[in-house]
Amino acid sequence: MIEFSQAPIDRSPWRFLMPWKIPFFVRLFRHRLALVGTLVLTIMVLGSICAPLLTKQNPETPNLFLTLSPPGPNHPLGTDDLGRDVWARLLYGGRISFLVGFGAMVIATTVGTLFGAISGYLGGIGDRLMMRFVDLLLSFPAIFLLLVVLNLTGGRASVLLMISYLGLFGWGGLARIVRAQVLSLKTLDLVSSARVAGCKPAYILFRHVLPSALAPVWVSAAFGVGGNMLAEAALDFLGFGLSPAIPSWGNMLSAAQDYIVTDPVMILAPGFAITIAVVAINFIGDGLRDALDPRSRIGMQRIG
Amino acid sequence: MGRYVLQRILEAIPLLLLVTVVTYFLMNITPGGPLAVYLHNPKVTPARLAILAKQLGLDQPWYTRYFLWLWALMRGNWGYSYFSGLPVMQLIGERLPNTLILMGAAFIISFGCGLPLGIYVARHQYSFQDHALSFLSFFAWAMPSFFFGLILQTVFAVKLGWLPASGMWSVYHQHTLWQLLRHLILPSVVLGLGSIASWSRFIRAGILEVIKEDFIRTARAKGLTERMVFVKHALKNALLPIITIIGLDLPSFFGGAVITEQIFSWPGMGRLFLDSLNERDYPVQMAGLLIGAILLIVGNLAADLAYGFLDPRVHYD
Repeated sequence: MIEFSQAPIDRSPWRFLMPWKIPFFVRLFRHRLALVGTLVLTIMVLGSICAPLLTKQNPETPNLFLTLSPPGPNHPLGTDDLGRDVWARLLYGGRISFLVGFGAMVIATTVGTLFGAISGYLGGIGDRLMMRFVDLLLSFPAIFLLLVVLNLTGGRASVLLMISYLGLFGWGGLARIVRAQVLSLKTLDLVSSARVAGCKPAYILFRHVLPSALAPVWVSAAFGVGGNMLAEAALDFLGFGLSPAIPSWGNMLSAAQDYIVTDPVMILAPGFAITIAVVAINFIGDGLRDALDPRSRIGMQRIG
Repeated sequence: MGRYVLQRILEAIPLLLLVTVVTYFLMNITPGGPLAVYLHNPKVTPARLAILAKQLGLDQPWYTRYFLWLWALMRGNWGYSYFSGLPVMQLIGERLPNTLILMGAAFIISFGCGLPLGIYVARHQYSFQDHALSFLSFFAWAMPSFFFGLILQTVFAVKLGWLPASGMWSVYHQHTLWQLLRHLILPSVVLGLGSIASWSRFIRAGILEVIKEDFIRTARAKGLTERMVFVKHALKNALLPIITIIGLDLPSFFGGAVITEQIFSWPGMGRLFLDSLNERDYPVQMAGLLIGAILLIVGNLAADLAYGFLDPRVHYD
């Protein structure tokens, strides 16, 4: 008589949407860098969310008597060219930067995964048309397309518009990868048996094929957040991103250009903030990649 | 093999045509239309606008206009800049070689630094140097390129004065190769930084994979020196997938050049494109989009074909 002393293993395909249910998460956190990355990122995100607790200054009110002052008692990192507190702008700006990064990633991941999965599963002429569309999207250098579209709609965007643009122009690569995965999964016996059993194609796609194809999606999502943050900063620097009034790390960098020599803190603070955040995100992405998809090339392209 | 090449080229042509359609569409949905630059001028009456529209052929249906534009494009007439009045072809001819020089220099720096770095960390896997350099390469990839560029510019050009801060040539020096190189160092390092980081990691991963193969054990068992084993057998096989990666990354230098040229005032296509955006100079914007797309498509095609050519295991029939 064999006793099964372990808990029943959750074999629902939707476990892939809830990563904490998979043993891989245990493997992931043995990867020390990913652990460090998660820690640092959590600290930064919490710091941004709890910004009112960490600073009493207002990030948006200018104080023209106190422009470009060095770090002092009231202003831990000094003030910028309009007298706004740099530390406060860093914290509140983190909110916007992380929001843009995560928001654009969610849009890009959702659209890319659905597009790639449907295209891969359809096959035939529909697949070819959809992939032709993705090829077209990917033929333009991303930054050129973003700049042109931003210019057409007025040069400066709101946070929502920025998230939409970055998301809607960044899903092409993921669509291709998901399609490749779906194509290879389509050949499995379980798909043909499900078809013979009379399951509808949408059901087969979403319940059997897609959950197993999601591995590169997580990796791409992780790297995508960092890429989007860098892209938003680059667009701000070029003069085509968020309105200058909105505090974001990219805007801070762009405004600090003229004052590097006289007030280096102004540019070093947001620059290192972005760098450390993206490094942390990349550590997490690297850990995910090692755990899920070691041979993939995801995440090595970036704008700016 | 020849058939595959032809097939891929024939696939790229409709893509290029679609690119032209999208470009033309984007430029025509601008607020105010192609004649927007005249709309704010009080001296331009609607009657004059109508005459101008007829002269420029703007009263024809959009598909006629598109095909006429495409036909002119293929014959080499890319229009005239709204801002300077110069033919767009002339502007491109002045600016594109500069961007290509910058991209080439960045590629040389990326490959020249990335390859030895990748080999070094692969040879000393899991050592302190490996971890330190991997950490640094993460940092280098994550740093916004303009942040790094501005810091480099401030440190080396403003504070230390070793290198020129901007431009491709200086007014007070002769146009020699040495002066060009002096101006080229900072921008190409900035442009190539991210690639050094990512390529060295890929080379490291590729070498580590190949080292485990059986034929390396055979080579060692045959008594070859470690150096021979590494260079003659391991390296050549590890570099094969790297060629594809590098080839696919190369067109992205063009996008990165936009930022680098802005920081260092390099007179290239990227800065031309940015200026045209600010000046609402639509013919130049269209040209910029087209050139960017052409470079990307041709670059990807070349990388694909090169891989098929270089790897003897790949057969395309």
